[in-house]
Amino acid sequence: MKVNFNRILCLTALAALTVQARATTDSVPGAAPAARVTAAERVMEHESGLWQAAAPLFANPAVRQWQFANSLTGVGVSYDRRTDHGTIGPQKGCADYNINGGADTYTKYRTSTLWGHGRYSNGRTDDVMWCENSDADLLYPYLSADSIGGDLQREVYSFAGGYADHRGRWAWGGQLSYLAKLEYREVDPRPRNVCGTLDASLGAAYRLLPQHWLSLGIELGKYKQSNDIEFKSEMGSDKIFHLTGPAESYQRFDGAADAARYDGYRYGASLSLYPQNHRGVFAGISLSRFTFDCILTDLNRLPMASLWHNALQLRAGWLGQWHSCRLAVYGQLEASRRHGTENLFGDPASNVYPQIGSIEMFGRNVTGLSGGLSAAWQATGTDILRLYADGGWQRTVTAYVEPRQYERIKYGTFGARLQYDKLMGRGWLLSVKAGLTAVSPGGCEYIPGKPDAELAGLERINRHVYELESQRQLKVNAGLTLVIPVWSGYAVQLGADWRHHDYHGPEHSDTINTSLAFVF
Amino acid sequence: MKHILYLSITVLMAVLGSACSDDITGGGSGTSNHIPVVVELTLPEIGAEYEVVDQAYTFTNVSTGRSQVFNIDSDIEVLPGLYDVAYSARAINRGNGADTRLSARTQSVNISSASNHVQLTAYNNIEADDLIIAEIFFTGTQQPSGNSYNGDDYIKLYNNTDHVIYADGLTLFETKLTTSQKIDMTPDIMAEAMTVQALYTVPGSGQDVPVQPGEYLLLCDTGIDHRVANPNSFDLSGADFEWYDLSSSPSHMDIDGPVANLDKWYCYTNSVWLLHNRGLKAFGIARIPVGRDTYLKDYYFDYDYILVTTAGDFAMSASAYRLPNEWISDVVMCSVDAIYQWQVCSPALDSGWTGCGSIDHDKTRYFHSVRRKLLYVADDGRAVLQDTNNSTNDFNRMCVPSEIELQGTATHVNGTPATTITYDGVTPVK
Repeated sequence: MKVNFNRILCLTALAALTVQARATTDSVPGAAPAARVTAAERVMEHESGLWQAAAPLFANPAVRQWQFANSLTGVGVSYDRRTDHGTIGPQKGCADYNINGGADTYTKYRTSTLWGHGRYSNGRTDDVMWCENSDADLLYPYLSADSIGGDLQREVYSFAGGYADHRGRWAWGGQLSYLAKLEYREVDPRPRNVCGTLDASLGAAYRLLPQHWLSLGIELGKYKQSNDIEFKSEMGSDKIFHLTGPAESYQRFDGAADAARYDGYRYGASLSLYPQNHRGVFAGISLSRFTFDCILTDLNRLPMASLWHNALQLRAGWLGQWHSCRLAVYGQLEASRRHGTENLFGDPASNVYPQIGSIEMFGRNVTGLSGGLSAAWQATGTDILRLYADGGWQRTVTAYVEPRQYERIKYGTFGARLQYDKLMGRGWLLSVKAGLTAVSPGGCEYIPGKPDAELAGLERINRHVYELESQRQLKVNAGLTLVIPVWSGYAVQLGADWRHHDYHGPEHSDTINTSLAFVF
Repeated sequence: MKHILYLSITVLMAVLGSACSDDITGGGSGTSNHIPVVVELTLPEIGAEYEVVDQAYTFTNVSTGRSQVFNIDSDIEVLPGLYDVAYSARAINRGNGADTRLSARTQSVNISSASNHVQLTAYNNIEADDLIIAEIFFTGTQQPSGNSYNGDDYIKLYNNTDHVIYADGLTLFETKLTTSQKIDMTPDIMAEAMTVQALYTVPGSGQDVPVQPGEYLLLCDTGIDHRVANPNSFDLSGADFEWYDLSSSPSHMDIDGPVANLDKWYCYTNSVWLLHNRGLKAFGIARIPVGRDTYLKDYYFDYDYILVTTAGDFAMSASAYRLPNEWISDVVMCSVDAIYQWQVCSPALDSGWTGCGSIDHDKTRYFHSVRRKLLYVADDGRAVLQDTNNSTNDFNRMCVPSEIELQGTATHVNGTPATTITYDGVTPVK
């Protein structure tokens, strides 16, 4: 009943967004540049623009009104599939299939900008091991797990809406988004994960220079996941482990609780400087903090552990033009600290465990430096060649205090991507792209834990994944986009992407994405 | 402007330096450092002729289940947390070389920077020249339909000595306290006695029930051929004794099989006594030196405890029989990993526990028993079983029951028969 209600709500929102966007565009002929720009050109701007060099800055809704010069609305469906060959990331499954449908809009109206989306996704992840939760990356390491695992069915509903405007030297904006996810399995063990993510952000900007806006943004979010695992087999049930580290669990409660809840909060702030005309220096710094509590609901809502994750991102760069070539360069620094604290409990009386202390046991620190160069060379009025080059270095340290486990992964990356856009007669657009990224690790280290026999399988998987990540990797991607005008300002967009991730050895992963959308 | 720039650079360098650090526990509560622990050990009076050797402390973290063993002379440092602390040693008589085991145990010690003292009082292990419990089959079997089947549970006693032992007057008992629910009793009698709720005694006048060295005495629930009612079960009509109850519940009547009955001294239930089929009790045998009537009159006691619930704390009271520790020959404490909370007897009787299944209501536990480990096979072919008064070490868990092995009956609900006979569920009989 809940699913049906969500589906109705989703479809209603999709229809409303589409109609609203269409009405807005139609009601003000000539007001927005969209009226003079073909659908193909707008698709090109939205998908390949040099704005990507400053992408993180547009998380601030006050700045987002300068992300694109033209409106674009799309209603479409897509299908994506990831297939891993070999054990690569077993806690995320060995394959993913998703069918998606939805509507997106980015609409300009006089000085206002409105954006939003409504999406529905139905999919499946195959052969998930040692994780019965959704959003494993977000909740790591405090996952509920068993040694059986299996496929997970999934439904995702997401809605978002934002608005920004400016008057004189001031600009402002706000955004609200909600994502609901249901994941489940219909054979033992039967997890039923219900997740909700509500995010709100507000931003304000002040025109510091004729084209540059100094912006301040804040964001607040709430995350919730309830995870219930059932066994219906008459032949027995499996033990549910409550993981606390790479191959560690809170043994006292393993098998004693099959239901958990995660309550999380997100806070963030950002400061940025961005040129409204996409020419000049840009810079932005953002700080965020995410915290959650892992609560075992079967044990009188016992707060087993908590985690905080602090992140800093600093990006600066330059957007400009040299002859007929538009350029963007950027540099970025990222750092995060993720620490988990296990709560300690005294002897229970009638299943009520008094908390007697807490101890920090898990940590993961990440530091990264990266930079990139983008160049778009307009050879003729209809031919655009784009080159993207980027490189970086990242260091990730994961550790558990006792029994000591330690993993350090350091790697450098260098990638290049070439894209050719051809505006053909009758407003057609053909875009082809291909890219290559090399990952070169060095200075990696792994100290395994001493897991119990029951978690030895997880330890073997962790070691294998480390061995993959500490070896050279190669990523290749290719894609094709075709925009076919069907009416003045309306077009059909077809897209196909393929990504290949090759590890040292037989393991590799392939991802394909195909999409069909009606854009206007 | 310059100040802001310098300040920004300083903050960034601090953040970067912090993020690059391998110290993952620098922040937060700051409680992750190991804490030095001081153990105050009180030894029993064992005489000057004894030398105490092999002394060690075992700290078992209740949260993680991990144990650390420290030599008595080494510095003890552990992470903060809740610990079960045990002491073990051997006392060797310098004159005749005889040795005895010393042990101590305390549970749920909160070790933190504010509280790092542990007090232990060691005991001479209670060694009785008597039968021992070799096997407990409390889980029962399953019918082909998958439904559980009651009545074929049993306990096997064993003569682990080299001389005949008479079982006459030996009392089989079950504790009232469960290992999965800790209570704070007033008065706390655990150091002197056990709290019991079922007592069945082997009849006889003293030498009527001899048990030869290396032989078993089979005590069962219902001594019939259970294969008639459940093809997955086995025949217990050859058992030595059964415990029979005159039930007052018409829907739960006991069957009085052809096997001799144990003398029922007391049982908490008015219907039928079954061994706790998840194994959350301690089972034992004792030699009670007083008569039945005297015991039932003089050893009944009342106790109080606090029931803690989310709705509040409630003062409760209950009654049970107490069984003095010195009367007890052997105890085997049972539980389940996922819900184990505490020891329900003195560590001098049993300082560990055993069980079947790893989670509560584990359906894989059926058709399994706990069996005492084989120590060695003597020259005369007699199996000598391990008995250190620590069921964790002394027992093999989740074994095929010996009666199923001997009769080659079902080891699983699908009827798969047993094909191997073992001494202890692990070591095959050659």
